[in-house]
Amino acid sequence: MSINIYQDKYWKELYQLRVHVNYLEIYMERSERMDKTINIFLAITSSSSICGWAIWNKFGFIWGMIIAVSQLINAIKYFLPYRDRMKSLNKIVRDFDELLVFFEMRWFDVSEGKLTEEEINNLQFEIRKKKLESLKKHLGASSLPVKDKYFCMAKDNANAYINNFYSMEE
Amino acid sequence: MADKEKAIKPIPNPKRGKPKDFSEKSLPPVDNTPPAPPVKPPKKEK
Repeated sequence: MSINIYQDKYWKELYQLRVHVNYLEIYMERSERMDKTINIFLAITSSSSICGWAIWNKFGFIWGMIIAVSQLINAIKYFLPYRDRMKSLNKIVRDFDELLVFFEMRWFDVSEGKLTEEEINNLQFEIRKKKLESLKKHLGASSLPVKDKYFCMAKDNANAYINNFYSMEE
Repeated sequence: MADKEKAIKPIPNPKRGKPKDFSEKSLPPVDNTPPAPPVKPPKKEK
């Protein structure tokens, strides 16, 4: 049976939400990893026992460079976006996950013909409205730079999910 | 005094306060949506 235009729009909105949830999760994970890497690097360079290793007598210049970089990072650490981004993304991902569960559950009503076109349309715009509210609330004045690599990964994950749960193959 | 107040008055920035479009700036739109599974037609309006 051919799909109604409003049901199709709802399906596309739902798929987009799935991709965005995946995208934000990857974004959060990478930001966490970056923050952790910076902290580990700073911990190593500030460790007095590592400073005392005899090997640095041979490679004094390299150690000097490492120390210079670590001091530079220490100075600008609180201006790097990763930390704030991690906090915001954590809250957005939580909101979006809840939205996904709720609106994916409503897909049953949409696909089983239990709702009118107007109701489906309202539901679709409710997804958009709630996403926007969450982004405004948690991102504040900042925005997320688009990462194409994460986005491709998010789409692949979403396709695998759709294939698993909504595949038309018998 | 009046000159001093005038001097520290901030220059209005037309960009400041402009609402951001978060949906487009932060989350890229998705294309190539896989086809939807079979559906029943929507309920008729009364």
